Amino acid sequence: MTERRLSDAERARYEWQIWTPDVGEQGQQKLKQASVLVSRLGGVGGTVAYYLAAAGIGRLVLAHAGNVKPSDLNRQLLMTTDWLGKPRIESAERRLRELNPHVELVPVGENLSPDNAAELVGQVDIVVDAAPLYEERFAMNAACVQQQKPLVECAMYDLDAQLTTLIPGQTPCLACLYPQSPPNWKREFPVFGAVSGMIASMAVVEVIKLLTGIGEPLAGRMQWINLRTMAFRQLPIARREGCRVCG
Amino acid sequence: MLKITMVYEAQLREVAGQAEAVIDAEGVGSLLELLQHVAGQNEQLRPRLLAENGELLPSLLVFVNDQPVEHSAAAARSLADGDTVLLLPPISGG
Ligand SMILES: [Zn+2]
Repeated sequence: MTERRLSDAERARYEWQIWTPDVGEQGQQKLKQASVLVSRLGGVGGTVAYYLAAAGIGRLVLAHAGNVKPSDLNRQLLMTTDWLGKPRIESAERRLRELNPHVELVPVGENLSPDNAAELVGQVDIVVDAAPLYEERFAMNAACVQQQKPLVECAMYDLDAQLTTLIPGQTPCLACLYPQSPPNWKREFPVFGAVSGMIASMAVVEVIKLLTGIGEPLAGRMQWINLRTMAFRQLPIARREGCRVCG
Repeated sequence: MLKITMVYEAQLREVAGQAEAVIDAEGVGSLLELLQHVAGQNEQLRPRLLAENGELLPSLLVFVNDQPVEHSAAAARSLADGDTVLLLPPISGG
């Protein structure tokens, strides 16, 4: 069990965010006591993990398989050139420790799957979905619905990005929105790191709001952002009757 | 007169070759018919809008004037002149 009280070093590190009027030291303690699972540490998830660590989330469970590839480096800011060919999860762990040694890291060198989803989700308070494959996203969604844990969903393509916070019992689940995997799904697509970083930052703000209770989470609403035109659309989303997961 | 503004995002914008299109939908009776009409004019768009049975693709999010339309209601959803149909294809992290 982590010590709830903040040390002097932590108080100094988080000073600027503790100044947020409705966060204060109490809010910071809530972040310290919290745990978050990030599935995949790519362009979105890596930046999510980085800002969660910077914000002082107490424990991060991080799932990502594979080794660093050259094509990761335009957006996966936890991966470095000197780590090419070596495990992504090690690069991520090293970078997060460099940033904030106060955060407890639980690195998992495999991707989330139907086999490990319940166990990984069971370790945390909130989950952030930054995964490219629907099987993985559906497994995460099912575990979150079953365990009644919020799932912050972020996605991107080209200069577009999408965000919503799924809260079991209150909002649609991922399977309400997408009852089946899209046909011929491609896991690789055009994107800039600045686009993944933008939506990742917004996802972390959602996590901070859920944990501290400030603001209003993006629940029952989907934010669609087109950075080509700078159009920010907020759309209502609804539960699907007879949903195979939450219905 | 039945002019409908179609808004395509992400992969759909790429395949449609445009972000927006105003189409003349005179004679089109429902939202489902509209998408079938659009799919009929662009073979590459078709598999991204419709399933093989001609119904809406389950993973497509459809909004009329920024309100979501459940797929089972698309065949009964009528359209009015000036409506905007927004199509959001599935996207992901990575
Ligand atoms: Zn559902």
